Amino acid sequence: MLASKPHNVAFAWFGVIAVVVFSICWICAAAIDTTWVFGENTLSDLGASDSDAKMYFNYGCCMVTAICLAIFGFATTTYSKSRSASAAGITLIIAAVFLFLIGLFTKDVGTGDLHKTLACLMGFFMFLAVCLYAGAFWNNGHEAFAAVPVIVILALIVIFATQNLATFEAWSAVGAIPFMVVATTDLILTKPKAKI
Amino acid sequence: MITPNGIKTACGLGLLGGVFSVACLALYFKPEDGSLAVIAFYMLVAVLFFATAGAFTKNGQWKWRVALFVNILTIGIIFACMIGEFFAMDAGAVLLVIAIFIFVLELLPSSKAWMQSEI
Repeated sequence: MLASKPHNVAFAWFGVIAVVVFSICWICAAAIDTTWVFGENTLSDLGASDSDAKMYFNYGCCMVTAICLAIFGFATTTYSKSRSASAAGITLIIAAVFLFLIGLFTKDVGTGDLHKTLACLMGFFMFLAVCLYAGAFWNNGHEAFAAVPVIVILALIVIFATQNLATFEAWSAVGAIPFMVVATTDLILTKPKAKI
Repeated sequence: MITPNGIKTACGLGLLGGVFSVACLALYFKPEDGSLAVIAFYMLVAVLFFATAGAFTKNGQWKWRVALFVNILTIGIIFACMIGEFFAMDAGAVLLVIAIFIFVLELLPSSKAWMQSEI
């Protein structure tokens, strides 16, 4: 009889898929909508674009990425032993839900207030998730991995204080990429508690 | 336990980083608005470097994990100050390289074993 092998490594790859999908769709959207400028326009402007960039951003950057992040968050909660990792996974799932809704309720829907609210909530829960993941890396014995979210958070705090919203938003998205790579690596290296 | 070379090097780099930060504080001092933030950040980084250097001595004040965390904070603060243009790019780059070297040296198994055996 073959013993079942935990699938944390397989689920962990959803983190990488999320990063790849987000990056490719963002690049495609920015290339199609030539009026969009990094640091001057917010990411939400791509979602309200008159060109096909809107499809890439809403479906690719928001919805598909959100699904992948939610699966990754589920995997973190299921396979990690520490409570901080479980909390981080749940918070990431909540952030992913708001990210999905951002793709549905774009900036040009109604007055745009709902979109702004969803974006703020997504940003808040993502920030919380990053902090919890840093703690989870520390508790898992992967202290070196915790360096990435700490450095990213400190850099984003300075950008928030000194730059405009569009720049902060864009660099937040860029900063999430190395964080997700490190989170994926941590989950791959974790000895899972679940046997599924 | 014999002190590993990694620990000695990390201690030396910590002291070097602290001295260099204080030097930058004097070098880049400009009596104008906003200079207080620049002075404060250089001073903060100098203090963090000296504290980190102190962790790599016999009967140092911190456990390995605490020293690593302080080093991570140092790297983050230097990087953030470079982005916020509080530090000159060349000075910030030197400080960042020193901090990253200390980080790498601290991750060596011999360094970890030495620090955990000292406390």
